Amino acid sequence: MWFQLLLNTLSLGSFYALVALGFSLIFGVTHTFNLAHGELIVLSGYMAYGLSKAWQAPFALTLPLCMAAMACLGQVLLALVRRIREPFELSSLVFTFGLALVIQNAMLFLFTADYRRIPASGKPLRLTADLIVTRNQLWLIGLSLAATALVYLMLRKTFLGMALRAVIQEREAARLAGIRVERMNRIAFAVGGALIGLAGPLFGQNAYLHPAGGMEATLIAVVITLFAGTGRIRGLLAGAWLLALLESAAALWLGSNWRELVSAGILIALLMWKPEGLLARKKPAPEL
Amino acid sequence: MARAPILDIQGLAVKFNGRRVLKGIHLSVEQGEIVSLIGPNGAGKTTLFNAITGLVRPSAGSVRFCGEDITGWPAHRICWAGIARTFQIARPFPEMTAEENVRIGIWFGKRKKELPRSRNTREEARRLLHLVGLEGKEETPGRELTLSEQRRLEVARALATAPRLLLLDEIAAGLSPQAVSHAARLVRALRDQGTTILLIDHFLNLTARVSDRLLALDQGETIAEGSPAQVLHHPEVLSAYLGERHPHTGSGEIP
Amino acid sequence: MKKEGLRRHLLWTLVVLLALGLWPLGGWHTLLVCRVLGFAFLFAMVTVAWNLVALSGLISLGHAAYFGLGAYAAALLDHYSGAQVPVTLAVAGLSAAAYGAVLAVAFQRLRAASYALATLASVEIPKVIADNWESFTFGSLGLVGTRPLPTISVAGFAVDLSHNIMGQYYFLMTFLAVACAIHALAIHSRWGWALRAVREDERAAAVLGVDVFATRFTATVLSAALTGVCGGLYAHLMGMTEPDLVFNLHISAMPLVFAILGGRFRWYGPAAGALVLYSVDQLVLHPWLPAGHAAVYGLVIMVILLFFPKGIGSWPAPRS
Ligand SMILES: Nc1ncnc2c1ncn2[C@@H]1O[C@H](COP(=O)(O)OP(=O)(O)O)[C@@H](O)[C@H]1O
Ligand SMILES: [Mg+2]
Repeated sequence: MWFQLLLNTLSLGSFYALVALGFSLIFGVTHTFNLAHGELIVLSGYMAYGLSKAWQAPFALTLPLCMAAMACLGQVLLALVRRIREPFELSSLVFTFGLALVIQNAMLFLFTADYRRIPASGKPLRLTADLIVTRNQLWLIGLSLAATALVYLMLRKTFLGMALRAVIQEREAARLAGIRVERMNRIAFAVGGALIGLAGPLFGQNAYLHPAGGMEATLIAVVITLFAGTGRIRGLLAGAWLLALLESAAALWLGSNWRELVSAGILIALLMWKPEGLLARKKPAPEL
Repeated sequence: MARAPILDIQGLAVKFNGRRVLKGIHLSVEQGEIVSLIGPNGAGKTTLFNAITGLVRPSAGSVRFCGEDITGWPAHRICWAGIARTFQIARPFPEMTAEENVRIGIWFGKRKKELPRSRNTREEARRLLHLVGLEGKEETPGRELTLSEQRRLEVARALATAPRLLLLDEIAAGLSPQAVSHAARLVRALRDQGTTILLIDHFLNLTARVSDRLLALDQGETIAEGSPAQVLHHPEVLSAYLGERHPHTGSGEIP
Repeated sequence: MKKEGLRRHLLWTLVVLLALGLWPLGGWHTLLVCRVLGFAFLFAMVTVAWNLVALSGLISLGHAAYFGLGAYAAALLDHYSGAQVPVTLAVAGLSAAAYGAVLAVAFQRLRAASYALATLASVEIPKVIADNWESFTFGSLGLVGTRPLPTISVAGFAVDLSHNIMGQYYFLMTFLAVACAIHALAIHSRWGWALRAVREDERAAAVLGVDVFATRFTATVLSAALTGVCGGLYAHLMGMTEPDLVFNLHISAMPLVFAILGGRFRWYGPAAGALVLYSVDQLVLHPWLPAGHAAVYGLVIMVILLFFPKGIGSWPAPRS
């Protein structure tokens, strides 16, 4: 029973890491506070659902399609967001809040308010007498961790990753050092979009899709990013597992519905503790 | 000079994220004095102002004003008590006209019940704008003023709260010689009307002309205090301004 | 020139008021329009309330929390004690105001995006509680059978507010008028100047003697109370209260959309935005696109931010 709980926490936490990763990358590089993050994930989930319903597309095939589509959508979003004026963080937040409403209503129109689920991909596996892992969970853990590891290696080991990290840490200095920040923005939205595209089908397979279900995922991404800081993958993983653990514990002791309170409560607590929010810039003397 | 000082600062310390920016400042200012704070960039002068006016909470020490302990009071109460200030980087209300900017000071600078009932705030605001040389700019929004105009607006706004102690943060930085003279005349005139003045003057262009006394800060510590002549020729002050560091206060080399 | 502007302004106000006041006597699709406009008055009131906080320089994405609390307070009180409507409405306002006061204290150091996020998350707390405290709130099914508004007598006439759409129309209009009066005060009084100073530069305001915390606290509590009363009215008008209905994201979004559409710095701006857009949404878009018509709210936000950044007036500019 405890192992089962741990396994579920591991799979949930790994998925949370994936959810937060896209948000964190986009926010860190471009400072776009994407409140539509969760809605985009749900949208991608619906897309996979549609593909599997309409053309019986196998799950493995829906993944690259969704990733490509969301990466493209990311570019569109970037093109729009670039027109937004200062104060950029707040304005982009309000803008994507509007976008979230549009996506929610579009999904309501296209898929109605019924709960949908992508069919499971095969029978669950029994590891020991009372430890069961579903194939969905295997997909979830494997793909989430693989994607996280890939992004980690990309940021740490490649030249491009170094440039991205430089932009995350000091945007103006990076620009002066000859890094093409514009290009980094596009790459961040492409990679972030692909991660969203990956998260959607996995979400749709492990939980029910509902047009209004995105805001919860957004809050989770924000909580973890706030906890870890931008561009810190290991912190992100730790935060994601911790959050999953807390949610599991809350579900165990209080009942599964109270789980939703956890991320909201933690978000408020984190914000009260770090009032500057995500953009706690290491600016020298504040101008007083 | 047996009277109690109007401002009495004892062992004031400020920390930012564990870094000690002010390390126990002592300063007392008599009624009617003009005292200058000098020191290199980052010495902590503005932080001292912030700690006095309640924008920054000191980690140790006390500030007494007119005999009352005002340490840790919120900024608006310190204003009501009679301390006004300007900001080094001017912060006018951007969408309000210059006159409205000043009227905010008149309306809110004292407790509601201490405000005179029927004061003509418009006349008063115009008089103050005139005093700092902003006549003709009454209807210009704050954001459209030039930098030097914004700084003068700050002075007018601070005066609008009818302060007993006025803190001026680098009001003469980057001004033309005539403007500096104007500022010096203004400061002396204010003192003659009974306002006590503490001013920050990093570039030393106002200090010599107006101040009775100088306090030199470096790295959050007082390095010299006394008459302008004494302080300006103090060896530590000279070396601080030349960017040299003493062996016991830190590293650094003579360039 | 100023005088002429004032005269035109007065003229317009008069025309709009006359049109709204006389519509029930006979206009196009009177009954339908009056029903929709009645709810438009209600949401206009929420918008006006929201703008009180916005005038202090903060963007709230969580007014559904106050609305839902108000609705639940009224519905629960009605269900368990059968109290009269004025009592339920007062309690609705008070409970929302209490939550507003807690948030105003807890969030006093938050600004801009942090504040927006924190308020967004603050809706979850009452919502999850309402959703799960089955024995008291009836969980996700919500409360049904809340009694409608009573019959009141005005100058000798009995006005039935339970079923008479016209009665409801004028009743809600009166509430909106009161809200607009408070809003006008928040722009033109001494308190209004304090709000303005806090919005434009709160550090400068503080050293000039403006009590920043008190100014914001008053605005937030007043705003929450008004929104709570609206929630209570909604519970009585609809007769049912469900978590997903009253703690809905759209309820948080609506005031933001209406206010930036109508203009945030004039007394009539938020209300005007609400009346226009809500009516268009309900009368034109809803019949045409029953599922998904609310996308228009999101679209309006996006379009204004992209193409009319001045239309949302001066956001509180970021200053350290
Ligand atoms: N709000 C703050 N947070 C962190 N560090 C600060 C803050 N305000 C000032 N400092 C630091 O305190 C030191 C003193 O700054 P300041 O008082 O502005 O110097 P001065 O006015 O003498 O040039 C500087 O090193 C500055 O970086
Ligand atoms: Mg300074």
